[in-house]
Amino acid sequence: MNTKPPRWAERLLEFFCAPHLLEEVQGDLHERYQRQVALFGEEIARRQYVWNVLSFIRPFALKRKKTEFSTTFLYSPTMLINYLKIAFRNLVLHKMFSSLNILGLTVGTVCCLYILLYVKDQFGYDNYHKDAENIYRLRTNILHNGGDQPMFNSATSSPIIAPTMKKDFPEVVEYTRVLNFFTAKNNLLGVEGKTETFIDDKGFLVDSTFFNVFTYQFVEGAPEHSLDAPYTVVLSKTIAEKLFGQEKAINKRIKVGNNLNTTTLTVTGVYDDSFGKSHLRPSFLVSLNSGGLGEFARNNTEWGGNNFIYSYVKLKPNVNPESVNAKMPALLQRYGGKRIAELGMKKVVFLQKMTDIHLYSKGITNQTDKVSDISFLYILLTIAAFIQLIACINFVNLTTARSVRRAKEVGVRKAVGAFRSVLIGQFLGESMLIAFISIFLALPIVKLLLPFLNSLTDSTLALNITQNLDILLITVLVAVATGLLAGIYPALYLSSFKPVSVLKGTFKFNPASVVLRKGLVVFQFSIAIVLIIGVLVISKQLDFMQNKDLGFDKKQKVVVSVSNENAQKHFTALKNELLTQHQIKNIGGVRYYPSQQFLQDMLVFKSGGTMDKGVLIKNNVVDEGFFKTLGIQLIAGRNFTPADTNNQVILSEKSVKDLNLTVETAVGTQVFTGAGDNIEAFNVIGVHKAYINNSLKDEMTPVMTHYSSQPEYMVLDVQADNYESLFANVEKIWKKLIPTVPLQYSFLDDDLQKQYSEEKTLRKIINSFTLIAILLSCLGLFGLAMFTAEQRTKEIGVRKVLGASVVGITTLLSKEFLKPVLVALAIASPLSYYAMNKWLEGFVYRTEVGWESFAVAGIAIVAISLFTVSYQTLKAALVNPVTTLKSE
Amino acid sequence: MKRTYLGEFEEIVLLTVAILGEGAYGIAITDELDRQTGRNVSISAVHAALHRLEEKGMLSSKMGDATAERGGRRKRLFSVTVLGSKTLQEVREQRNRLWDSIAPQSLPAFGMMI
Repeated sequence: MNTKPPRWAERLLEFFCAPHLLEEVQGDLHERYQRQVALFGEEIARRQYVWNVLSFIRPFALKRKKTEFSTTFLYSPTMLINYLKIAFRNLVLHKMFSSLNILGLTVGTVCCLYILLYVKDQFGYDNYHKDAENIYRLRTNILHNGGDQPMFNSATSSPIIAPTMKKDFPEVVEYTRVLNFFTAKNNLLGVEGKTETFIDDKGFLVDSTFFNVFTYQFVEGAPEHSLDAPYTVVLSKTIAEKLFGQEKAINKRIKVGNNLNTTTLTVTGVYDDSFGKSHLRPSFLVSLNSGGLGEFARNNTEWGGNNFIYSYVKLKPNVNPESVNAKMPALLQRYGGKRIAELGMKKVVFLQKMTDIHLYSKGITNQTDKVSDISFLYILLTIAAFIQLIACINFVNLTTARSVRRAKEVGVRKAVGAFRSVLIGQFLGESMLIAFISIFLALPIVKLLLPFLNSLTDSTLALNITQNLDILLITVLVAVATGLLAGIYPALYLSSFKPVSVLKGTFKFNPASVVLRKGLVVFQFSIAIVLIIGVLVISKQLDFMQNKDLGFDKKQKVVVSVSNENAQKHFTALKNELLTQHQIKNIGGVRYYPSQQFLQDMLVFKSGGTMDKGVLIKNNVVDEGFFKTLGIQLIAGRNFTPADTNNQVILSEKSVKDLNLTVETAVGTQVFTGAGDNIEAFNVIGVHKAYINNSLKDEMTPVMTHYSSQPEYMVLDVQADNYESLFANVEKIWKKLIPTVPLQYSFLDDDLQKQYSEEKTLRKIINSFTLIAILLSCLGLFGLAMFTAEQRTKEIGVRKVLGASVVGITTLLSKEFLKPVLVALAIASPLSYYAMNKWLEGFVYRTEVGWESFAVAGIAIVAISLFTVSYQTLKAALVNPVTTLKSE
Repeated sequence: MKRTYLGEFEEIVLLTVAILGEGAYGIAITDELDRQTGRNVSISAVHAALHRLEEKGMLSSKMGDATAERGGRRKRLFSVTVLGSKTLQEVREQRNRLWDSIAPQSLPAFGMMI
């Protein structure tokens, strides 16, 4: 009879039954069980047993007996004070180790805190609007020629769609449209009757329903009906103060637009623009019903093209946006099916949640403002976690390496009755103490470094611990998490010492802990190496993009905006005046200069084709000087002359290829756009060599260039040693000809560079983090080297007595630290090769990862770590053996 | 009359312990109860009653010897204390007095009483 009752029931009984009753109860149950087995068989016996166990769950069995002898009260104030005292004594006694620990954790915490602040700030956009979760923006995807990649993936849509949705869909409570009209760097604002003006390009034309959808805090006037009347405007507080100072703005009249004489608007309200975070940060809002483009949008009935307006709809509560999305194709088909087919496009319009706009808009063009990207935030968070992990690893390594020093203490404590759990608590408490010291040091440092850190991420964060409870919470959480992460292993390790062996002096290091320590060092250095290689590859790609031949001469070019109507009239006069300056060699006029997005396009086909087989070609407008000024070669045909009209075009190499023409035969042929009776023909007069107009991240687009004698921008080819005098002269000429509009210019080089601001930010951030990661890893290595040198003083002494040289001993000690670094290099290289290749795939024109990045990273990390340990190893090797050996 | 209250089940358990004498422990008591009264009581109920009786001072206990079928665990052997036996006596006398006070024929007959 060797059957046993169910194990889980046994466990359960042992768990709940009071220890002083357990023996007799369990004994009785077993006795009964054995008899049941003999009588009824095992199955029934087991069932009975379980039943019996369960029936013992009653008060008398659960109640624990009070022990006769009081155990030590583990958390008595005396003991707690003792723990604190010992902790502080240890901190003070080993100043070097303590400061290494605290320094490491502080640096890590500074990074962590700032990144958490930054990430937290990126969330919660547009939440403050009433019913924010029911507000959606319309997105438009257009596919041409049956391609699967949308050629047009935009945050804008045709103006007619949103009003029709409200009319046809009962789910849509309200709609509003927002038109980005004032962006062309030429929008002037001024008070009626005054001459001073300033430029502001963040104004929008909006429907009168704007404030029914969005919530704004008004400081003057009220949102209701504020934009009902034509020619009304609501100002942000900032703009109102700029225009009127401390005076009330309401009911005053202001002049807005690129032509000051055309539009005068009445102010009907002022809102607080410092309130809330939003994807839409207007500086002023003008009623759409104010003539001009607004009128065009209001009366627009185009269903296929004219996707230029932001449309927002507010749905009824609890309506699934998918149900609305599902009805969209039918709506488009019903009203615009014929037109869309005529244009040869496949058009999809769907809803995007407003609160998602800021973080989930990757790849969507025509945004109202700078958007962030959730994957970028993930990268940041990962880096922060790794940095803090490196700092924690330092703590773990230094603490376990030094555990011999605490071993006696552990032995004595255990001998006088401390439980393991108490010791774990003590050591965890110590790491918490250090974590909190680090946090208290880190907070003022973050505050101090904020301007610098903000410049890294292009943001304007502030640290107001007292006003922001959640930041305080994050801070405390970071401290607790750090303390736990750093302290748990040392606490478990230290508390596991056996008092007998420790106190007898036969205590030996657990070899497993040495392996773990080495493993952690490998991990640290792997992270550092991955980051170094990342920095090198990002820099390489940025250099590559800077030096890539774009197909035109970008050096010493100044772009002057003449896009203001008043200025454009004077284009020719201005050009002639400017050319009298000897520093200006050439002037070319252009609508979209390199670095600007082409906003106009058309479906073009060659003779014999039709619109639905056409190629989507971007349009540009230049004057006769443009190609010469930028040094773009014409490879066939001729340049524009002032006698040309809009019907003469010069094609780019790429568009010739896409249209299935050849460079030799293209000149003299005609290309077409339009359908039915409305076909427009263009005479190809030339072909220019390919040049890269936009970011190297994107594929080159086909371009067709038209002629105008007065385009919107002037590109000056200058040869100047003294830009100040040049600009003073240019400004003088400008003032003389166009006194009403301020001069606006930029360097072409700078504008091109701005396209890569995202990559530059990434480089700046990773640069700083790499430095920090290396610093932290080296701190840890330094501490370990110091410790090893200390441990091996006797060994070194003996070796020296027996004739070892200083060089020999230094090499011996250094080798030990070099090994983990080399292993880390072997682990990190393939990882970073993979990661960086993935990153590079985001660029159409890219460099490769290259072996030299690995070589540089490898040599750098080996040199840095050798340098770090050299101080300690040399010091150890130089000590006179007499001093170390005499103490025995 | 003041004495510690003794419940009906407790009384029976106490009596069973007295019947078993030296060998009174959980299982033996349960089995004896079953045999004497026909009641199928659970081990836990018996244990609870024994525990209560010991707290009241009517039982005393000591650990006995272990057997293999108990997995090497010892038995707790119970014996009736002086207080226990006194209480049992009192209960019995009380019952007797009560029986004596009942007039003949005042209880309905339910069979042949001899």
